[in-house]
Amino acid sequence: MASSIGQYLKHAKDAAATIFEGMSVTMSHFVRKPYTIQYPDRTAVRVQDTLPLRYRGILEVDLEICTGCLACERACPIDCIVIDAPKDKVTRAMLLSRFDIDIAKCMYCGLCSEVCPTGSIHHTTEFEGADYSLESMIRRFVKDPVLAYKAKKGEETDPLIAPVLDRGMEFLAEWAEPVDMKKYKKEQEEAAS
Amino acid sequence: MAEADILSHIETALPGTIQEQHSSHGNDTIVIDRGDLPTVLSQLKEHPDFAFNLLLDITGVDFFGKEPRFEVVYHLHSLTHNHRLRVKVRLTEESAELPSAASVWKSADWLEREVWDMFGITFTDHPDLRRILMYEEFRGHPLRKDYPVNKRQPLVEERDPITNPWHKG
Amino acid sequence: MAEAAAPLLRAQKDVAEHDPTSEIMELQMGPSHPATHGTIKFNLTLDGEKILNCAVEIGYLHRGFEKMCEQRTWNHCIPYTDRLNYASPLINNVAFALTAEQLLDVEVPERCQYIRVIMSEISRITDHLTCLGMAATEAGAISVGFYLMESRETLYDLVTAVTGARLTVSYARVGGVTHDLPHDFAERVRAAFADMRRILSDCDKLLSKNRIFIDRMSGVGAISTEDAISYSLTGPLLRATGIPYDVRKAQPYSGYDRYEFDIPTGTQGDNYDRFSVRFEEIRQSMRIIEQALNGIPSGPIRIDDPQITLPEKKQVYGNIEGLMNHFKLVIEGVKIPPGEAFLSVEGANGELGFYLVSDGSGRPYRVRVRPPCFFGMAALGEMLRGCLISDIITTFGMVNMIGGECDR
Repeated sequence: MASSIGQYLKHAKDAAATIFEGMSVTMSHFVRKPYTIQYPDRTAVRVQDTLPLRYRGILEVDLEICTGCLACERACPIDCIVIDAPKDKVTRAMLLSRFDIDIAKCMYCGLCSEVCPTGSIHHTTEFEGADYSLESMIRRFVKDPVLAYKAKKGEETDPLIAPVLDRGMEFLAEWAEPVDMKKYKKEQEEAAS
Repeated sequence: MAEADILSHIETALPGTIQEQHSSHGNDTIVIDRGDLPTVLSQLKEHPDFAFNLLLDITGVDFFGKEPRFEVVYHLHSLTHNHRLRVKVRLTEESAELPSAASVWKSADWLEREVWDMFGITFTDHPDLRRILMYEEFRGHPLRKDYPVNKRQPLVEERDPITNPWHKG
Repeated sequence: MAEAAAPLLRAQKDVAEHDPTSEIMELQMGPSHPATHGTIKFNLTLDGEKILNCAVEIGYLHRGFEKMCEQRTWNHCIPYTDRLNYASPLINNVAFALTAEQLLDVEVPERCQYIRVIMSEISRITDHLTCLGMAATEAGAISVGFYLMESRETLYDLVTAVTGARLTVSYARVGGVTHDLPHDFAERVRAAFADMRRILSDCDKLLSKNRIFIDRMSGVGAISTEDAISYSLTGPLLRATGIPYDVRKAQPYSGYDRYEFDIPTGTQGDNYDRFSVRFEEIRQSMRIIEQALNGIPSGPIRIDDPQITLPEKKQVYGNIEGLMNHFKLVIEGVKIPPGEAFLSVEGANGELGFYLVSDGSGRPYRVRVRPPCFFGMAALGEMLRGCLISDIITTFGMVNMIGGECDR
């Protein structure tokens, strides 16, 4: 009997102590900084600008540096990229007559931008893709057929294309590149000795 | 017991049951006949030197166009000895059935239902062999290689859950 | 509408003819019940509120993952694995890549192993935070759920900074990972962990000793050790019954034997033990990440093999060999020699295994996932026998069924 009363009192004491402990946590939230923000108009900077460069938002294509190699079309697991790259009948140069990305289908996996050799196709930090019809979700990048970019051996000299290529390279730098293992091991040995 | 000699140890403990054995990519494998399956599995579980008490997985592989067509693969793990074993049974298309392991491990119940659902391999004396991931009216077995990827299924009528319950018993 | 009303009418007729209090009742709960975060159906046999039998039906989220993977190249399967356990996608990525690498008989560079461990453990923490937060919310402690979501969000910011996406990370590749860690990653992780330790201690105060919560969880949904093994339960469910089985210790992969950590275990195998095991695992994961960040070496994060990973971008238009390797990989995918491999990693809910069969072409011949939730669902009927209807919610929450993984 005495033990059960003791047990009861102990439980009551425990309950009071834990409730006090819990309430102290709850009360402390009155003086804490709120974690949530009001989206989209009460943020100090646009949310898009706070995202890292490698953020995989809606795809974008810089046609100036697209070589028409179709690597992205092949790499896409769900075939949401469609490219037509015919040869010009007179000059035999490669044209880009169609470059469509269906962003309603796109799953933002990044396999296409990983394989792009020039960084022409890349993800932006834009993520608000809502629209009224499925048809308008297809981004058509080619208005009139344009010449495909031809990679040069050395540095790009065209003042119009060079900054675009530099930007593409910036996107590519985010992706991992294999390091020359022999060179790396040699460097490690040199550092050790 | 070192991992390397499991295969030879099994060979001595269960003579005459192992048709083929190999070890590749760190997985030891034995191939047995389906008639020996219940004895081999329960021996592997009960024998103190093996003690494969955890059934990791049962799955099927369809080698369409080859003979025998199906392979049922059991992955076993021993919590006491920390070793692993893969047990395989090969089945032809005409007699795609083998004895159930549901009396040895309780988890084999659902795993075998999945193998039946996906490959159409029958487990005799299974307590309750019916589809698990697909619905009852589904036609065919989707993971068979001759099941086309983009095949459409006929629409089925809505089932009254009271008069025609999915789960019987 | 007539079909919907039919069972109701029948129930009314039953009430008129029989004494409803003495009757065994059949109740179908689900497939989209608001309190079960997953599409699953329970066919309950009830005596009043007591559960006599619970038959679980799964398959409502079946998407044919295994069939889809057979149509695609090896690296195309990585985005699909994100959608298996969407609360911890990085672990699935790593598991798939590791199994494919085992088939190739290659090992990734050391830095890549460290990165994979760090990202897996971050993923494990987010999964446990989701599970605990949702379980607390469903048991009535809504504010705890929000606090845990808050700390999960700080981790998702880290995941975004590394992989570029919150959930659909697609981070691992056969032979490496896609991105290197940002330069200020270690400081950011430490700052996030300081924040998280505070939140965890808050939640500890709010929940772990709370009488109401203990009464809801303790002794509910228990399963014995023998049954747990027979039902092939792994992960927190098996550890709650007292067996210290963890794939990271038992069969170390990706260099897990480098780190010091404990395996928390329970004694009863009930929901409260599962809760405590998961809670403690968060702390152990933080320990592993801190050790890994202290020891991470510099170096490459991909295998340097043109047959497996893409060549340097300078090489693609720089020399003919680079061009050929690049487009051969893009068009045909990684060629994995014929063979089969089974490798399992410690997922957040238990042992996540991949069984891959290759026939030497660029595509997997057979991809099989051993989903940990599947076994938890098979054992759910056993756990719930004799419990009350309200216990389904807490038990289901602590088993942490993830539809994408269970149904594939």
